[in-house]
Amino acid sequence: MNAASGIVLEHLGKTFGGGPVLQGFSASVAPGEAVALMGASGGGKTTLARIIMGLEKPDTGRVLGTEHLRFACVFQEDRLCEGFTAVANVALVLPRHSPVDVPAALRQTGLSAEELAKPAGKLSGGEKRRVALVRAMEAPSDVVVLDEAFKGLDAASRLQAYAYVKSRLAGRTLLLITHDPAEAEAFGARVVPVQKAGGAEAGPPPADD
Amino acid sequence: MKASPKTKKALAMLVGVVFWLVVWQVASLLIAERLFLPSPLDVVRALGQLAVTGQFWAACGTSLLRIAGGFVLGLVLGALLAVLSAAFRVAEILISPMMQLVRATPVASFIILALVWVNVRYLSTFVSLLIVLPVIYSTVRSGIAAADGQLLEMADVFHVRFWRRVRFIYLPALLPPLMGAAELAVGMCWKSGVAAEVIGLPAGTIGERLYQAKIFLQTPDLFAWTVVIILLSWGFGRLVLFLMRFASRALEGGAAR
Repeated sequence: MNAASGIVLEHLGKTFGGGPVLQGFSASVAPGEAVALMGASGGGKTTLARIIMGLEKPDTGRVLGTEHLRFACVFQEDRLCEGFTAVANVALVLPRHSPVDVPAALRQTGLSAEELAKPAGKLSGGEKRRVALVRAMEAPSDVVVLDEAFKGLDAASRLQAYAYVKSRLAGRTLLLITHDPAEAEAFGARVVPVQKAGGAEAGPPPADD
Repeated sequence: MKASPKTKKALAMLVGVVFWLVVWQVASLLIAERLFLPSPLDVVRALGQLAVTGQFWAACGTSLLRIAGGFVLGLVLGALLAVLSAAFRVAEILISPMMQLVRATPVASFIILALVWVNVRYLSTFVSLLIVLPVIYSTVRSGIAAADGQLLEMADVFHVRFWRRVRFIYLPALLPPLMGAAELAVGMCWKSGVAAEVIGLPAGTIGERLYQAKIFLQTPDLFAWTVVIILLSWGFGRLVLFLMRFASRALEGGAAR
């Protein structure tokens, strides 16, 4: 399978100090597909996403098809530059002459003009989350990774955020990391179970190359 | 109307200053020997007499330029060496022991070595540079190491360009400790710079005038020059902090584009 045919994870294994987190995990994701990595806390979902993005190296197995992919991510933490405004935080990841209207995108998630002018450090948890979401959705990318991206949002904000993400996805691959089946359903995502070090084989079997 | 915390702090400082001025005045009256301890009024009078001469302003300007020049050179060189050390392990292995050596060497040794190595005119510049260099180097180096790893990882994922990383991630981590270090370094470089001038006696400097005041037993002038050094050091320190705060605000004021 080549890059154009999607991401292939072959027998991935990863061990940290506390023991194995992933063991023999295999799955594949088609281009433009929405996939929800679901499982209990500490089950290796985030580790898996980090391996896919190239932030961690697997101890065993390999990842195919990601060499030329650009990723955008909402991490579990907001990871905002706290002294800078929401607009600056989003603009940080955009190309110099990007046509994206950043204030409009932020307003689309329910942030007010007043909140846009505040340093990110002074925003509430939910507001920060929305800034992180807009940053990931507006950045040029092929794959969007949303790791517990809607955590801390109330029901109304969550629906607004779902609508915004769907409107901005534009055919990109979506990797959702969530505990919430409703979230997977909202994006029509195929659920791939991830379990700690027992190994969940999911998705179509990887093709031999 | 209630006084603001800033006003209260200023008032407390004023009370402290007035108290010690009164103690000084009383002590000088008790000693009653101008050559040994002139009164605050004697010093103000001496300062007034000095301030109307062109030589006074020339000496202030010369010392200010040379010592401030050493500070700026130390700031730039220290920051550059720290960036080099952070970027290349080999550079750190070579630079770090040198900085520790410079930090541990007594100022007097520097001054005497500098008298051998450099023109006496640049003595105070050279000495203040060497005093500032290790302070700025270690602050910038630690600041770079302390930059938020999660933000750097975010920048990696989003392919954020180098200068944006510097502006958005490194400088915000670096500027607060750098301001503290710069304030400390300003005081140190004035003390050592004037000490170098007193030993090397470059013509037309504050150090030379301080030394002349001592050998001609003009104690009020000695005190007056000391006041001038304190004021110049304080004023230069304020200017440096103002510029750094301005840079910090300018940095956070605009968008990335």
